[in-house]
Amino acid sequence: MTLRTLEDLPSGDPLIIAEREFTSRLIVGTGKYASHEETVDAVRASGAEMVTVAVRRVDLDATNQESLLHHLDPEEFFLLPNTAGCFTAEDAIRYARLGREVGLSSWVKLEVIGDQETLLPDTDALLEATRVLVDEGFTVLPYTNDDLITALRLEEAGAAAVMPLASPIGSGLGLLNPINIRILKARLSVPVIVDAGVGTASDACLTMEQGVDGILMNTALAAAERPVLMAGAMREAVRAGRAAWLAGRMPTREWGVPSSPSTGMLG
Amino acid sequence: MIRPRSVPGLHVICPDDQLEREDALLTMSALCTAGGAGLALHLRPRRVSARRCWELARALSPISSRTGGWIVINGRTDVAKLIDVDAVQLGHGALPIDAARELLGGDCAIGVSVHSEAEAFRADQAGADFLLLGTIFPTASHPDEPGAGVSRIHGCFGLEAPVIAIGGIDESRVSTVIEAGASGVAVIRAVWGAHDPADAVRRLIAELETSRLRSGIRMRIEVNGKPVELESSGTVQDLLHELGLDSRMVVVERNREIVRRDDLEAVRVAEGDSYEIVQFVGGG
Repeated sequence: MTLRTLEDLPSGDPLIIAEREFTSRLIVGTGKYASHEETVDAVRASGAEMVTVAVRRVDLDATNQESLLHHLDPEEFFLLPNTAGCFTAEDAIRYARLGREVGLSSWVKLEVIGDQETLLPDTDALLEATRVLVDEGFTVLPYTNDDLITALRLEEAGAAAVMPLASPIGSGLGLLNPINIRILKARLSVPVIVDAGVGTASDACLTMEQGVDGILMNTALAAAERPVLMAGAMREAVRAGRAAWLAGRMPTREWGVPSSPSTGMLG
Repeated sequence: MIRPRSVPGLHVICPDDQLEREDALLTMSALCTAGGAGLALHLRPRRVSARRCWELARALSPISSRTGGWIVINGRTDVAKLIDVDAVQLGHGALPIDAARELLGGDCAIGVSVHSEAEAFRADQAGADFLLLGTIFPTASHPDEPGAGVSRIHGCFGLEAPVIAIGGIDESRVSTVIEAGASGVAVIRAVWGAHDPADAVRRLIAELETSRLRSGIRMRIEVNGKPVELESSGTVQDLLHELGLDSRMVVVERNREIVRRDDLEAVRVAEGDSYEIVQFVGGG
């Protein structure tokens, strides 16, 4: 299918991870919303097909602590369990196994945090956990920093996609190092999904314009004043950024070049 | 140290004649499956070779770690260390507790065989994780001993280590020793003399649970880091029901092993179990 107009997206340009096709290049999280209803409304407005969830203890004291499964239909959304909050490979593996046991898929968004203040990843533990989980048949999507060497090692370890950060989790600082992200994209064969740090629609658009395969975000929607409206903005921004990348931007010049003909002027 | 409450209630001792049998492994793995977390299977090699004991323990160990039960090696600390079994049982002439602990480390429970209140007291002081207290009733394996009766169990009241009563105990005597204060029972004939040993194990465990609950001893477990007391026994599925949880919405880890959804109705909740029950919540 040739891509000529914006309407040819996204069906003509699916995101493919581990041979599975997704129509949206936006993946959204479900944390920090005011209510289950707002979560579902924002997720729907974002157009995302893949949606991350966390694995946590059931609160035995709370009578109305429902599983998110009551609200997000696994038929409508592809639920991606994460290992958020894990500080060791062992813990992350344990959470991944629990997430798989829910019985929806063997996919996991793998996070191993190395530092409480910055939430930057522990890349050694991340690699170790990736190897173990790939060996156990998981489809592993690791959250990592924007370092090429780690990304290459994750790919070699069998990661189905590599997910470098734009800036720290929940910071909303946007894409801090577009050059690193472009290098990663150029060197990796698996999809590159930018995960964490995007704050607003322009950040998302700029990130997609680097040529990456997708974006994963949570706080940018949940912490917006109007999360559902921001979700729609992000949907458009990701689509616009992707289209702009595919369209191939014009070269930049330091001097003005007229857009109108310089011939045929009146005498 | 091993948490005392997690010592299984039924101890089945496999003497030489059982260890020597060609179908020993098959029979013993059937017992492990039947007994689940409530069973401690004791391999007691006296004339049987270390090699035979090691082979059996090596084959049974993965089965018992799946069921949550214990494999206990009697006397042979070398085999216990090699296989990394759940417990070792120290009898007459075995290594002292300190030496066994030094060899085996802290994860291997140490049981000690005692035959009087004084011996029980000394072993408890020395840090035994559980005691096999005999001989309560007259038994074929010790025909010369009259049987001390349940007063010997009364005499061990207040010890830190759980007391497992041994000697002439069968299904009909379980409630008597539990009411007297024993935490469990150890048997030979009651299982190996039965027409169907696996069925005997199931019946003994059910009788133990009933006796405990009748004596007002609630089953103590831990769920999501909090102590929970149960007034009746049941499966993990029953536990979820009790807690008001929908089994399709949660995942259960029992003693750090995931309980597959298909097994929820098969796995029984055992004294001292630790559960993590998790679900999907919002996350990024």
